[in-house]
Amino acid sequence: MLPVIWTLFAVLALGGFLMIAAYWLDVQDRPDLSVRARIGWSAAVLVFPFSIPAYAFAGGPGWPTFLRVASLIPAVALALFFGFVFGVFS
Amino acid sequence: MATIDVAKERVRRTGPRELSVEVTPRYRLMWGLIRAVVRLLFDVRASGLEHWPKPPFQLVANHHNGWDPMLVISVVPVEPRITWFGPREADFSRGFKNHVMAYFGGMIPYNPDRTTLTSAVRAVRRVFEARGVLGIFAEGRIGFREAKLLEFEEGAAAFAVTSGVPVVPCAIVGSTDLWFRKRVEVRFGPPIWTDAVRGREARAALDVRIREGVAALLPDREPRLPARRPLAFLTNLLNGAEDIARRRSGPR
Repeated sequence: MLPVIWTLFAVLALGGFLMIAAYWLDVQDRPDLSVRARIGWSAAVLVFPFSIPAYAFAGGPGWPTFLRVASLIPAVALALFFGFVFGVFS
Repeated sequence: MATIDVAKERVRRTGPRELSVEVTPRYRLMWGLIRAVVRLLFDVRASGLEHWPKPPFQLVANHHNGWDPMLVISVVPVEPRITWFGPREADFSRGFKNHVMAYFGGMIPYNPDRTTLTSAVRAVRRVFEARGVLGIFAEGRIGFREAKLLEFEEGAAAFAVTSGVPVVPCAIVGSTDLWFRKRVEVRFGPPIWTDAVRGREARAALDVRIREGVAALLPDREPRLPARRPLAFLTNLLNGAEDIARRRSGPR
């Protein structure tokens, strides 16, 4: 089971990095955001497992369902990471 | 020693595999990756693929975005391989994008300041002799209108005429502004035969026919942009700094 979880983690970690990049670039490129909102969402990247889903579902970027679901990937990858750290899967 | 230095310098300037025209495993890998990524990001459709003649031939396309070569590759079969003419970059040892292009090859860089037309023509002949396809963005730079073409660079048809291969007009529609799952259409027109073209006037007439062939595939009017464009940064992700600045400052 462990190899499967490792593989899953590797894939999700890669997807998580891509989602963080997509989130950041989308925030910088949105013309309808005020300067304050842009700074706020940009700073929120520090708590990305929460801010990316919050942005996707409530931040008004107009993301389709696929991206909304994908916004949860960084959080899942991080959960798996801490699962390894605390020996949940061993 | 001097010979090795000259060879190294040449590789540094033009990329190590810029002339590979065979369908190698490396090309198959690139084709598969591009197809997967592009089709995930965009809703790409193709029409007119049945117009393709037997290779060799030359594709002449309009140009809106750095994604354009990949948009074309994402809808065409793995064979025949398309070799792209004209990235102006001559030093492929710098920058991530250049390294990726140099790794996969399949292009003929042409920078008037650094490469000679003779060497470019020789490279193009190699493509046609290997029964490959030469892709060329005839406008020579990125345009920002969907329904209009920029002036074609001189000699867009010269390579095809010199080798007597047909030209297939191609229009990439929808790549001026890109966002996640944006619909992009790659349209191919009927081939224009060049084997009977002789003389300067006939060549000029052929240039016009090719331009009309591409223009006929363009939409009638500029599209309206929706208010919400998810991941709109994709538009400029692969555009050069010069193109981005030109788009921001110049008239559309």
